[in-house]
Amino acid sequence: MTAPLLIELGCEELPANACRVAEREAGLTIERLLTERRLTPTAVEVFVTPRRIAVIAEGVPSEAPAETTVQTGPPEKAARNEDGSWSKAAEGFARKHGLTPEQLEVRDGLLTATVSVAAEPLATHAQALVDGLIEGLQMPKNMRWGTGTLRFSRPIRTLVVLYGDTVLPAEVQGVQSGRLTRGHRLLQPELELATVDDYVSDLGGAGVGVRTGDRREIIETLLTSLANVHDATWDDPGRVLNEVVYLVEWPRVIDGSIHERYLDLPERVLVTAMQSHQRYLPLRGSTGKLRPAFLTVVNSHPEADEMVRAGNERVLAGRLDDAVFSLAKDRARGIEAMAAELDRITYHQRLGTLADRTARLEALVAAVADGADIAGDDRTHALEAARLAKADLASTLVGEFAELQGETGMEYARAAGQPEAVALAIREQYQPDGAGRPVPETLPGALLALADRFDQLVGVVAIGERPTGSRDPYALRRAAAGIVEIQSRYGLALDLPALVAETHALLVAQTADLELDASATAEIVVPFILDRVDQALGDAGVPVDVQRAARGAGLVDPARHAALAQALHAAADGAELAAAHAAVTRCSRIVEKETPADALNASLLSEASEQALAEAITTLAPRIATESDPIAALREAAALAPAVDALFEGVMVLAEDPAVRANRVRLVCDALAAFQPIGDLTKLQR
Amino acid sequence: MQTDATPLTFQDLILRLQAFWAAEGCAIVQPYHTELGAGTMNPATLLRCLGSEPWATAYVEPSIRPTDGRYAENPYRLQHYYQFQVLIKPSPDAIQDSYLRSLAAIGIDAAAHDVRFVEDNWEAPTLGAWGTGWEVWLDGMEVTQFTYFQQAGGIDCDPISVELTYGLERLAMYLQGVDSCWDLTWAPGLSYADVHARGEREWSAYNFEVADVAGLVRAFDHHEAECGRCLEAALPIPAYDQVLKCSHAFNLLDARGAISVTERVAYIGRVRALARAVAHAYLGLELS
Repeated sequence: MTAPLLIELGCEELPANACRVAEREAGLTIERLLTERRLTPTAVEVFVTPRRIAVIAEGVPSEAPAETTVQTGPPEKAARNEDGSWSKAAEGFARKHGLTPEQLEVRDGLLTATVSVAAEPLATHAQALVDGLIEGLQMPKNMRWGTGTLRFSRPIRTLVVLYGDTVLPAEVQGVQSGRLTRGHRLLQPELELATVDDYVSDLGGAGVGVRTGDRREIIETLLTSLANVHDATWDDPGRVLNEVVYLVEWPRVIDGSIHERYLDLPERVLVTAMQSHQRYLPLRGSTGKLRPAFLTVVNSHPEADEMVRAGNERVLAGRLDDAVFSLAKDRARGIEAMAAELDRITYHQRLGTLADRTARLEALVAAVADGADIAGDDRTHALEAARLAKADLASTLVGEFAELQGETGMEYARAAGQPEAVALAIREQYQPDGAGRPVPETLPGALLALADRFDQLVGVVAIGERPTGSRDPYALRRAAAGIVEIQSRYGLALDLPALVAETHALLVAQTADLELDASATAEIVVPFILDRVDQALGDAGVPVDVQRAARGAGLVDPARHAALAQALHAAADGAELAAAHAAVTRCSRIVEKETPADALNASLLSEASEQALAEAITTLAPRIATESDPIAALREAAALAPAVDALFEGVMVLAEDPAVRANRVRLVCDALAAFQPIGDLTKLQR
Repeated sequence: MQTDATPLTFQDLILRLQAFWAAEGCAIVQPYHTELGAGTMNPATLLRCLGSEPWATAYVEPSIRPTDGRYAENPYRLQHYYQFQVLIKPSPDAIQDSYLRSLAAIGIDAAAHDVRFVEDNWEAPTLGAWGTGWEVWLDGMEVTQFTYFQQAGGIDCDPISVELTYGLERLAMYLQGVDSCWDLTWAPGLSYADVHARGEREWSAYNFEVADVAGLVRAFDHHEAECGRCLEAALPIPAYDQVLKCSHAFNLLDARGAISVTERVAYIGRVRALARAVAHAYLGLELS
């Protein structure tokens, strides 16, 4: 017999990020737990609302069937000690399967154990399934509650474990399993579930949409129809709906109005005041202009709409009043006065104030610009933008709405009569703010954004912090990926070790409290940035072995490394790369085992093939090394391959005379070194 | 407001909350006798949340935050305002329901509103304290902070206490339908401004312009030393008062703009060290 199994953890309001974890992991966890117990379900569905995490496994057998299996163990000859007693291996194997050594049998020269498992009813596994589900959900932040020791995202208050129409016994920190669950707080605080089959419909009747996708669809439909009433469309630039779906069990949408007097505020300020914290959706007319109204998703009864609308309108008006007040105060002060206050704001306890950071940004903008041969207005504008880049962090408006950093600096720079290029660069310093997000559209913005990321990356690494696994509190991966993206967009030359050294020297000069010296910092930062290049290459279909081969060239400019990897990838099936690869493989086999002479002795080169190779190296090595186009460099390198082949065919490299032998190994080493600018071809999987 | 009765006065709001939580078994311990930045810092919360003994309390607490003063010119930013604080250890299973009933006791029927528990975790590094919980929204407005204390004074809480902090001015503004706290009715015929506007102006001036910087620096040093003397004499509760006084001296120095960034970090570190030492002494634990 099979039936559906429901496990529902009834929780106090779960954070949205915990809901997302449950959505992703609960089904896999239950499926694994059941399968391990020979109770494999036919299908699993997960239901997550702010107040519950539920899983329904369909077609679960009522018992794990009785089963006899034969397990194989150590070989027969290892079964006994010399004195004939049972060996440790045999005893251990028997114990593992709950048998005595005498009960073991020998089959095909191996010890075997015949293990019988009795049929086990599902009910005996209920507790383990509940515990396993709770343990299996890796929540972003756990807590304890009451007198208990359990850790979970939020307190668990009800527990339903229902198999068909039968309650199975289990408990969570004093909460016994039953059929009682909670409906919508207002509409039906409690309800009893008769059978698993009615779970979705019973809760639907109690004001709870248990499927997140359904709630999302309802929300979007209601938003669109109410927006239509306003002859407008709704907008969600901050993607707040991703969170809102986990803030409501019974979504409804209401509108509210915004007093005309606020419509003079900059659009970004209005939209941020609506979206951040309050999670309202702005409305736009057909021309894209903001309407004096907003939509919000509520969890309340329709009869309360007037009250709820009035409350939300007042809250938004209060936030907009703050914005008006802050803007007026900031405008009276001006961006220069803000910039002058940066020495009073800590950037990081160990990395100084925002004034220190500003000084570093100015120096780094200059260094990046010089390295990339950028002069004139672009350089001047970028430097001026760097000087004012962090000024808005001292503004009252950014104090109220942190999301408006950059945007605010741009507005205030404009108000101070700064050139538009400076104002834009101040905004663009924070771009890109994620994968696939816009990169700076102006060159000064790109320079400032690069400087900003170098400063962040080098500073944080130098104080001994670096991302581990999924932990990246300073968003360093994003900073490094930003450097790579901006560079590839603008094709600027970047000498990573030089820029890391420059940043580190600036920090040292400012007496920052660092853990690592310049070279230790560079050893972490440079590969860290190149790893981001490799990640992008991987996304573009360049295989890992090609990335590794290209890394062997030791290039420290991300764009040049990327170009080489692309060239190797493009040449993968060609004869040139095949020839170079074969030559390098032959050479490295020799070099791995032999000790070369310190330097090549031309007088010991007796054979024609030796002399030819030495000549080819002298001619080609500098050309391979200095060729900036990796495709051309690869062609030059391929031209060296026949001379290598000729050597191996013409002479015994490992000659008997030790001096000749060491000299020939030296020659092979030199050949290998000549190939090095096109990467370490031995890493290629062919 | 579409309530039947006239809205609650500010003082009635406090009285109703006190009566409600007293009936729920909380001791009404009254505000503390020295300046606190928040009701959490009252020893009835910060010390009593430590240790295994059950404890339930509720009280109104004037919160003193010198840098928030606006000379009584801002509708809701004040250097002196009121919190209503509830702390129950261990946290009861039905605490959310009790909280919603407390709203009903002050005339807010949850069924006629949109009440939401929105994730908001609390952290006070100077007190070595953090917790998980929510801000409670009433029709989009944040009216209460709801926190399960996980750690205080750098010590894991066991059992866990739950703390509710009601923002009284905001709640009263909502109940009375006014846009400025100064327009609140404190008692019939008496406004919030009548009670506090003059004090708010004078205290703003004192905090920002007058407080003696050199004296405050000496006061901080004195209270820090005194805290150490109390601890040596095995008197953790008087020692805790010295922590509070240090903290207030620091806040005043901050308002006077007398603290540079590096000094700021150092001062916060000193307060944190004192708070940790006191918490450990209170429980009779060795400082690790």
